[in-house]
Amino acid sequence: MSTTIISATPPKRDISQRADKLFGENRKELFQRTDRLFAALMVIQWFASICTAIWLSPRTWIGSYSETHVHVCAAIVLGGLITVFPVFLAYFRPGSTLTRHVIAISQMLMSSLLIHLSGGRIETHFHIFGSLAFLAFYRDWRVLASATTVVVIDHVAFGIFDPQAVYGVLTVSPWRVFEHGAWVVFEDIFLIIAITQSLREMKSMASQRAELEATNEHVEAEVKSRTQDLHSANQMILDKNHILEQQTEELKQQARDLLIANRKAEQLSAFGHILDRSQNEIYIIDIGTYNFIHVNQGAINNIGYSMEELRTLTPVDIKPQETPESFAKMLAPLIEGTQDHFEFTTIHRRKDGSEYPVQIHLETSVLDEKPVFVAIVLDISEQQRASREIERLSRFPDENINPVLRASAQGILLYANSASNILLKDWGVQIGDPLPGEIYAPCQEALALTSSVRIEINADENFYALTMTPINKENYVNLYGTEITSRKRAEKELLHAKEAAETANRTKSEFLANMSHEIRTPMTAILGFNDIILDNATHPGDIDAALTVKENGEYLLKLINNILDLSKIESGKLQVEQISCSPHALIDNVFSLMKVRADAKGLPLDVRFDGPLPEIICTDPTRLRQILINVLGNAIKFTETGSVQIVTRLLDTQSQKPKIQFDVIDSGIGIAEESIEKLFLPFVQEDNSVTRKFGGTGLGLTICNRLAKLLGGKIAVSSAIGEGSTFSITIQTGALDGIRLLENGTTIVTETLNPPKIPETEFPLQNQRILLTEDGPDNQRLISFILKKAGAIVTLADNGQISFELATKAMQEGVPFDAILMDMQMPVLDGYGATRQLRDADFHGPIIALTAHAMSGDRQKCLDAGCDDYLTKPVDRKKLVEVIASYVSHSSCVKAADLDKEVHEV
Amino acid sequence: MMNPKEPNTVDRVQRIVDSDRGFFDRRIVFIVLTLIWTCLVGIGMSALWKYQGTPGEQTTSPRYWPVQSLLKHNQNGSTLIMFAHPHCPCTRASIGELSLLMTHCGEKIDARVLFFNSSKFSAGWKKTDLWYSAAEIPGVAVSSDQEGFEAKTFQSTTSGYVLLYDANGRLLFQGGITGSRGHSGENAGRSAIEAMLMNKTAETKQTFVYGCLLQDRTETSGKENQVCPQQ
Repeated sequence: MSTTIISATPPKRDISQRADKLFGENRKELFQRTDRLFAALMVIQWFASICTAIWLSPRTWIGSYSETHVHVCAAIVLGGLITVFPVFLAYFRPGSTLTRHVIAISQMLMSSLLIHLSGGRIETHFHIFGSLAFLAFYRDWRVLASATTVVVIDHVAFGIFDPQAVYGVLTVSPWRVFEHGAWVVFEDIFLIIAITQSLREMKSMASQRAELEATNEHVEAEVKSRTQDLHSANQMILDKNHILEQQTEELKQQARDLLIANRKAEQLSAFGHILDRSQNEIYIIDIGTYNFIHVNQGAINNIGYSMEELRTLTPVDIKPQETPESFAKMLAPLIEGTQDHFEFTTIHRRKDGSEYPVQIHLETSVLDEKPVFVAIVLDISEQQRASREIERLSRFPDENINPVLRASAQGILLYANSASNILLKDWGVQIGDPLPGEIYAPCQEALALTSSVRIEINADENFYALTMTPINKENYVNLYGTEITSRKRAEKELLHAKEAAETANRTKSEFLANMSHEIRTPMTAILGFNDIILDNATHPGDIDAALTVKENGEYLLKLINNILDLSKIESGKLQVEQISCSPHALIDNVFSLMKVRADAKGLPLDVRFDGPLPEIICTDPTRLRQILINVLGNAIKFTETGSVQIVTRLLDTQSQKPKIQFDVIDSGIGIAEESIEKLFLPFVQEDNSVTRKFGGTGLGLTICNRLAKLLGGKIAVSSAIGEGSTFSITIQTGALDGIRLLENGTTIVTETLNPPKIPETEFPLQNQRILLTEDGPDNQRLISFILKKAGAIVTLADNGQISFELATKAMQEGVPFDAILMDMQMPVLDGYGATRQLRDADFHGPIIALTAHAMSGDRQKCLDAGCDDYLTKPVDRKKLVEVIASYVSHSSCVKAADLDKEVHEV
Repeated sequence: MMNPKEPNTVDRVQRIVDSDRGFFDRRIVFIVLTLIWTCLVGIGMSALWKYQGTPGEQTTSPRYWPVQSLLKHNQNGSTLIMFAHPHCPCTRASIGELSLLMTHCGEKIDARVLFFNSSKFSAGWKKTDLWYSAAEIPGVAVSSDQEGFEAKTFQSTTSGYVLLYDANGRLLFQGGITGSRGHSGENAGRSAIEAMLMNKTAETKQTFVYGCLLQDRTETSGKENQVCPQQ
């Protein structure tokens, strides 16, 4: 590349003109810039003068009053007047000669103002010199002349009119004026020298810049020319490059096409290979001869022929139903081109002669540029077998003799087998109809619960159990029915039988109660009058006869009581109480009763406590006493020699259900092992000889065993023939929390178990007015006799109504009865109603119930009606008198106490 | 709302300034404006100068130390009394001149500055920078003049008013010790006092006083701007 030296230079005249122009532009720019500088400075000075005035002389004073100082007004008004006009010019006429001279004058005036505002301080005089230095920024000595002129005028004027204010002396000498002016001129001289030098430098810089600009322009022109040449050469290279790139792109495209074609060929080869190895049968058939040209491996495996054999065969050879004519007729639409393919189902025959169903898709195609048939054959043996199986399974619900139905979640009947016809007829629905509401509701419930729901329905005198099984995944419900007509009928019959049994049971209970009443009532008279006879008999033969009547009567009563108890236990009506009682007192009571009997036989009766016993247990003391008396009575009865012992102990104290055990041990005849099991059977004794020898009903132990079970325990027996027996009675004690355990409580006998203390006199009911309410004339006579014998004054009432009237009348007369004996079963008004009316009529005296009903619930029933006590028939003379005496004596005591009290108060 | 298309004041002024045509040539306009501005500034500056040179009321103080005064003059030397208003800005220059005076001949005089005080104001009202500046001058005693009692006794009405009595209680000088209002620097009053103390001939015995009034306007009404006596 050739190098050209740039040697051409611009003419000097042009450079000089350019330098002058640049110098002028620079000066103008300098003037404008300095104008703006001073505009800002003057505004600042104005505000500074205001601040100075406010700070130094804010107010002027007249004694104790003050007002704004003139300096503050001067700073605002005069300072503003000095500042505004030059600022205006600097903004609108920057760079003009007038502007900078006005600025110079106003700057000097501002100096004068500041000097006055500061009280002529010498420091503020430096503002003048500073302002001159700032004005030198214009680099125009004429500006300094304007400013200096203002200073001179100011000094001359003040020197003439007020020399003391400027020079501090009364008369000013010319030398003083010269001194002040000389300082200003001194500074002006140095500033003018500096301005001159600065202007010279500016001119020099303008000349250099003009020369540099000229050189730059020349160089740029040369570079532009060279760059144009390079650009042309570069464009030519780019064009050639573009052609080469196009050729390269075409070659690449050809390579890509080849690559794609190669891949397609490979894919087709692989596809053919896959088809060839497929288990589905593919046949390629010559369109002219119908011979097989090619078949795949699946066809060879299934049909059994080899490829070579197949090439000699036609489709007619493997289709038993086809003939060459029928086959040609079938293929005609394909050959004529009216159809491009068709599908059909037929039978293929293998080489071994077996046949199988196939589905064929046949179409025309091209192989090696020759038209061929392509048959894709699908073996449908498994498919047909599955279809048959499905069809068999679908018949399954219809073969069910029970109803099977299916309903959608919306309650639409989707399916019903033939056994459901009775139901559908009863409901009046067909498949596709909505189910009745009473069937649809449980279907919804089953879907909601996702579990089966069972209902029972009645349809055309038949009963069905319908089980709704939800199929939540499919959102429908299957209904499986079972005919339960026979079961329903059996249930109905059972219900009738149960009602009949309950009626019979009620009848039996009423019969027993009536029997009890009917037997006890005459027995009361028999035994009562027998006692009277016995009391009055003196002849030994009469006494024996009366005693026999008494023993047999008591036996009859005992038998009746046992039968009643057993009857109640077996009917489940016997209810035991749970009340607190002392086991020590109970044993003491039983011991006292049985001790008499044991002493009569000369047998020692011992009581022993094996360990501490609770002070209180919770049980039915009446029934427990009944058990102990019965068992202890048997022990005494069957023991001739030796002794009878009661051992009591506490069991299972740490458990939730502690128990107390009473062992009744005797040294009697003993019981054979095989007879022990029969002991607790009703009406059974060890053997008939025992019954004959010892008597008894055979119900005692049966009742005791049942009672022990009702009390939460049992009776266990261990015995040996000739050695004696041990009966272990166990009952629950109830909770023992907080109950004391006593080591030996035989001395503790509660007062509640003590018999009432009755005055032991010949006439315990002396002058007591007693109203006997009894409908039976025999019992009226008997009880009246007993009461009168005890000293009472007896009034008779045949029924409750008469009793009520007599009692209220006596109350109105002020002589109420001391006690009322009230039979509870009476005509007109029974004892219960009469007692309630008496209590409502404010009768507060004792009313003692008298009833032949011996049921346990009767006592409570009497007490609830308002009775104070309860006596059963037949009447025990002694007990009758004792009970009445206990009430009337208590009443007498109260009356006596009241009388004593009244006397004392008087 | 101003229409954005309408030119604002600045634009209008700029248009007038830049216009080549008009009722007057724009250069003449600016020259006229400059002349008007010059006149206004000259008037303002003249008014300020006049204020600066206007003295307070000229009074005649007792020729001998008044007996009703609560103060006693120094019988062994001269006694100088300056009456000052604690908030008068012009008196700051008078205090400065007093400081120079005490520097030159402090050993020959008993100098006292009485600051006006009024019961209308709080106790700290009188304790201004002037009070402290005066108190800091060696040989100067500062005290307050309650309700201007002493000022009235000595016929003083303007802050910065100075009296000089000799040892016999005879008045030697009365007037101010600044050349103009609040203006420091050499002045006739200070020069006269210094001459008297140096036993030289003083050019004057009475000067103008520049400062705030010590008494309310009703008491001084019509007495200001009197003709200055011969100095």
